[in-house]
Amino acid sequence: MGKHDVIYFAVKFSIAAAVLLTIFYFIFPYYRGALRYSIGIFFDITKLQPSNNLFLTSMPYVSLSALIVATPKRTAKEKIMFIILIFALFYIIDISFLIIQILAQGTFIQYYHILVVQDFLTIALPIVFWFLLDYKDLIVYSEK
Amino acid sequence: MKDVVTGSNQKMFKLKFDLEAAKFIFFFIISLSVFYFLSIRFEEFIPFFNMQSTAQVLFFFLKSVGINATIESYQIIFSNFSIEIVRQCTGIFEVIAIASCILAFPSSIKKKIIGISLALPIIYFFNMGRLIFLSALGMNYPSVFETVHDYLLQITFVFLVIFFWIFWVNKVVKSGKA
Repeated sequence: MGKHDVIYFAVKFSIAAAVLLTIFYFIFPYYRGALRYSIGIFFDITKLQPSNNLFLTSMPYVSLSALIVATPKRTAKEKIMFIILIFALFYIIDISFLIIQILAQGTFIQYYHILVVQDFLTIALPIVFWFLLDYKDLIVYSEK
Repeated sequence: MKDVVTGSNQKMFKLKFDLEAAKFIFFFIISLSVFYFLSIRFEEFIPFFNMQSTAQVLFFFLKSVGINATIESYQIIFSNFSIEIVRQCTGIFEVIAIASCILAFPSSIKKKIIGISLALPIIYFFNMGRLIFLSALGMNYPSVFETVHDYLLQITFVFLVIFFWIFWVNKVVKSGKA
């Protein structure tokens, strides 16, 4: 990326993040509702008691989607497809980690689990996914 | 014959390319996990990026910009609300994320040191700016505090990590001077 490409990338990311955040602000109640419904099925099956203190990831799908939109690669159609896949993937991740949180209630894992959800999944996972999906080319710049 | 050779070369290149990417991801996750464990285990020994230091420096900056508050341990109390500094507020995970990106990326030790040395003050002051902004926001618009804290600034941090990383690759790794 040249100097202007980096600035263009930053501007595109900011606009994409703002648009996606606005869209997700309205979708989020339905997202939570879908999670609650899935978790409800899990409670029905396992007969476990729900906890009021469950943590979700802090929208890593928005930052990852904004990164993919801002990266000068792929067609608009491919980008939209990736965004849908990312949201679906993180829905599964959120569900999986909600179930782990419920199962880990009262154990030492609970404490680390919150950290993993808030730090690892929210910040590190978008970086890894973005690198795998779009920015492996960065390696070309490296020196051997 | 030519096509076969080209195809073979492309395949070899792709294999090498993917191996490099896999190596990066592997070392990134290992570095992230090790530093993360160490940062939790020895939190009180981390200079600047610990909860006590962050609360005290934030309190100092808030007083400097004329915002009235009192401090009690890790909690900063304003007239209409209060904030508690927890581990996620210190910026340590962002430091770990950037450091891991830099360490896992194939470049010389000198360039890695330059990158991490540049990243530390940038993240520190960015984080302080974020906390001052949130404090002012909480005082004036408490209803939007949670949304901005939980979502908008997490995205900003992901962007900061990636933007700084690209900047380091472009300006330090590619320059070949160090």
